[in-house]
Amino acid sequence: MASLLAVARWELHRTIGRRGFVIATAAVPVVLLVGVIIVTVLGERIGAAAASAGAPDLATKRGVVDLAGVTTGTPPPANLPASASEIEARRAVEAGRLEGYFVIPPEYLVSGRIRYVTSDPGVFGTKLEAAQTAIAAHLVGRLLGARVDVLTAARVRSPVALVAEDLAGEPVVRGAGEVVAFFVPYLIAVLFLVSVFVSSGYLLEGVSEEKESRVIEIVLGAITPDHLLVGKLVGQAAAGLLQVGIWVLGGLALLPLLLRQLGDLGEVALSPAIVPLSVLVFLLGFLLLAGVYASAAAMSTSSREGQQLAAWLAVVVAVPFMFSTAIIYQPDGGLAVAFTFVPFMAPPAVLLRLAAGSQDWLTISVGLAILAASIPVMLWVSTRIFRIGLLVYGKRLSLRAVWAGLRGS
Amino acid sequence: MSAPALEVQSLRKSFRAVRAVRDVSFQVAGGEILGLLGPNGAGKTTTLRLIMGIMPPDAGAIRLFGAPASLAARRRIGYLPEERGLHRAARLLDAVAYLGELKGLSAHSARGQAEHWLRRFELGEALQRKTNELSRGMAQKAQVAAALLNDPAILMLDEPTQNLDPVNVDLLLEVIREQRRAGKAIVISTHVMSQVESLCDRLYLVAQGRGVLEGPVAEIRRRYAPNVVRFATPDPVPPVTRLSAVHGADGAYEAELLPGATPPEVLRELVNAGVRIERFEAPLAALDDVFIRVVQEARDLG
Repeated sequence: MASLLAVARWELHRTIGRRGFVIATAAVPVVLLVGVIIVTVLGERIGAAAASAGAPDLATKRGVVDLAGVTTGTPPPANLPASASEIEARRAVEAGRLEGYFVIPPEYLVSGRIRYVTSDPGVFGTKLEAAQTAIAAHLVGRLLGARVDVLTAARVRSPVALVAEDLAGEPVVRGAGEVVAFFVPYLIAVLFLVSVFVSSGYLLEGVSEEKESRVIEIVLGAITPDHLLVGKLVGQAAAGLLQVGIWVLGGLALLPLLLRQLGDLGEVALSPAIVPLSVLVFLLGFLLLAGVYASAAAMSTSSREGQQLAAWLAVVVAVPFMFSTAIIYQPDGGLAVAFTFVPFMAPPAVLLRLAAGSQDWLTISVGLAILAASIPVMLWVSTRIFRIGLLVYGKRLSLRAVWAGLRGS
Repeated sequence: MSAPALEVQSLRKSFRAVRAVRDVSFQVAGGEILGLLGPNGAGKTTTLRLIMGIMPPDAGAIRLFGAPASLAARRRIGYLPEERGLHRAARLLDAVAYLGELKGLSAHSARGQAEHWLRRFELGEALQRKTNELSRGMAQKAQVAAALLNDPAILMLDEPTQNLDPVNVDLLLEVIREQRRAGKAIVISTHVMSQVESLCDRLYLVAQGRGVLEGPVAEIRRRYAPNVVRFATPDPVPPVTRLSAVHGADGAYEAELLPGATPPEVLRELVNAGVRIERFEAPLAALDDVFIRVVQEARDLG
């Protein structure tokens, strides 16, 4: 047991000392922090633009060159002065008297198209919405004139205020907020899966290195292959958990800040189950994959060859991601459930379903149970291959030898 | 000599059609050095791996300290395998201390022992260097140090002087002698016969997976000694009845003995004939010659 823990400590120590691990672990909190800083710095401008998006902007002056004659007859509002020609309007913009000018073409009534020329479109074009709202309000008033009452004119200007809710009466976030509400858990799912692959990859590299450097025989003189493999699994799982733990803590600390800065986009209701379930799926997925990766390393002559072998497994695991659109739109559909029941595909399938808001706990639980049950079987297979592959130097272990090893001969 | 610390009996191991070890039996007691010899592919490395439990034997028995080999008993073996190395890019002290921890030492103790042995092998300046920055010889000494960390009762060293310069060979052989004086049972597998002659108490020669020669080194060298004597005299050499031929000149001679004649009888006859003997020796067999002869005989027998 002491040797097993020594292996685990060694693996943990070696992995967290890797530059790649440090960079990958720090990347998520750093990206979030940079996001917070960027949004905070730009927030005032974005916020001002966003705030003005819903109502006509009466403070900013924009000229109107009306070639269709739809606004003639009454004096123009102060924020939309009429310009006699486009040349005159352009000069006013260049002189800073106007922020921009609209050109209403002769065929406007047929096409609805209006050209807007501006010296300041705003960050990410945020001022264009305000410009459109201003000219739209002006045109609605002019086009309707005295033909309808004030209330009808107001409704024409803003015909719908949609409030959506689900069958349980819960409000449904819409638009960009909905995208963020999906994207955040989806990102968590992807990150956890990435961590599974990264941790398994480090395990593969470690085994390959011990074979290539020939230190493995000294190690095997002091510890059984089974204990060695388990020690490595524990060490790498600890490193992976440390990584996702830092991601989760970083996310919990910085994500609300970022979402708050994004205003409307921040209305994300994260399922409280997503983090603990993701950790569980990480552990199960890692234990399933890592043993296979270690065997691939033991069968191979080099780290590169081991990775080539393991790549086939990565393709199998990635299959649910190839059908992610179907899973996201139907998280409890037949395909999603089918993937959940296949051990190597269960980790991404379950994480995608959770991200898409699946509440089908029965199939998810059954899938996780199948996944958990398959781990001892895979570990049994892995330890056998690991055992016979470790001392084969300079040539790849043949499938015949693997089969003989599995049969215990 | 005490009871055997290590005893192997009728070991057998095959890899499919290849019978790597057919019948190997030997024992080593505390305070004794056994030279495990044999041509490449004879089964020496496999035998050591079987003893270490790295792979199970097909048949035969391995006893450590008077009991069937167990993991706990195997932890008391300091093992330097033929295929060896250190964890790359790790600091030397960390890499060696880790191997001590694997043998059950606490982290603190493993570090202390690692530092002690690395300094003993003159690697004190390299403690914090990365292992991939070490020369082959330095890495080799570090691996021997790793084998000694937990004060093992048995040492099994496979080609321990490989990659070492003569100065470091001397240093290593001195450490091995120290270990013998400390009562350790030592098995050395090597192809350097001069080291076996100077270091080992007994040898066990393996050929074709079988033990073909065993015994004290001096006795084997006598047993296979060439039937000659060498002597120096300022006098002319008279005919000696127990010699078949005498070669040499300028006072130094090598003479071939007739079958059944012994060196003391030859010496007595020369002295009785009035020859003044300045030097007289009956050379022992060189182990190289014994090795070649016995291995060839084993091959001929199949």
